[in-house]
Amino acid sequence: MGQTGTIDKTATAAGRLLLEALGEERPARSLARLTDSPRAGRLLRELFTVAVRRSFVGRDPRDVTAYVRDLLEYESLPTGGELARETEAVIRAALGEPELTGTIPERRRSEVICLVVGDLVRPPGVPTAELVALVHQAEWRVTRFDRPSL
Amino acid sequence: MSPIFSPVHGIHTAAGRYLQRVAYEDAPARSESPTSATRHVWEIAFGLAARRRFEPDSPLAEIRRTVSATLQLHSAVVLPPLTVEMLIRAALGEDVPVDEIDDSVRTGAHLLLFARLVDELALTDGELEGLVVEAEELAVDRIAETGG
Repeated sequence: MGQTGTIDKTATAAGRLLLEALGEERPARSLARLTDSPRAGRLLRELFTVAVRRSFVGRDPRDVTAYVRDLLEYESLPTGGELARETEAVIRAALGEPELTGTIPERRRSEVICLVVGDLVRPPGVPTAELVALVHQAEWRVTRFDRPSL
Repeated sequence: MSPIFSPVHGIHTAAGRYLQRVAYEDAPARSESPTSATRHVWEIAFGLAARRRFEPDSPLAEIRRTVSATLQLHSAVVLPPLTVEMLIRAALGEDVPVDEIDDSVRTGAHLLLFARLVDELALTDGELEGLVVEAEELAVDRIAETGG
């Protein structure tokens, strides 16, 4: 990914950790290791939301089904069953259908988030500058939504 | 034609009669698991109703409204909403993930959706009976074709 030199530009340690994980050989696995940290885990969820919304808002929801099949095929995971449905449910929840994830265990949601965020760097991948901008936007969302209400 | 060889009109399987009662919201709770032949009739009937109600390219929002209304009406039954949606989309011919669904979930969804779709289509008694009979006949044909 060649992120050296851009990682320092992120504002938070959690942001730097995320970008480092995305630069590793198995990004989804590296991201999963970060979820033990509440700050990194929180930022990862916001990055997932930002990435999914920028990709799918305004598009036919059936595009999510096609994307999930492509993602799971790339990861050599089964495409016809529960994992595919749960992955689509977690993505569509971020797009405004939160009721779809009611029966999905938290652990599986987290796995899906790591898979999808890790997919940002699947070759050819999102340009590094854009990736850093996405992390910035996620950091901003964390700050905004953690602010105490007046 | 001799009366003795006249075809039998109307619904003529227990599976079909149960389906009819489901549509009338008059079905008793099932104490036993349905046989595979029964499930087959129900699945076919659900597919027929789904294809009458929706086009293959119907907006997902429209399908989601039917799913939401069905699950709201039967809130005591836990069915994953996306699984229910996928069953409708599969019936419409879409290539969607419908493997690894428990028989009880699949059957429950088929029955509840069948009742909902019949209601949305505002079928008359005769049309409902015709739909169920068609499902019975298709089930027999498919069983004969597959030797099952």
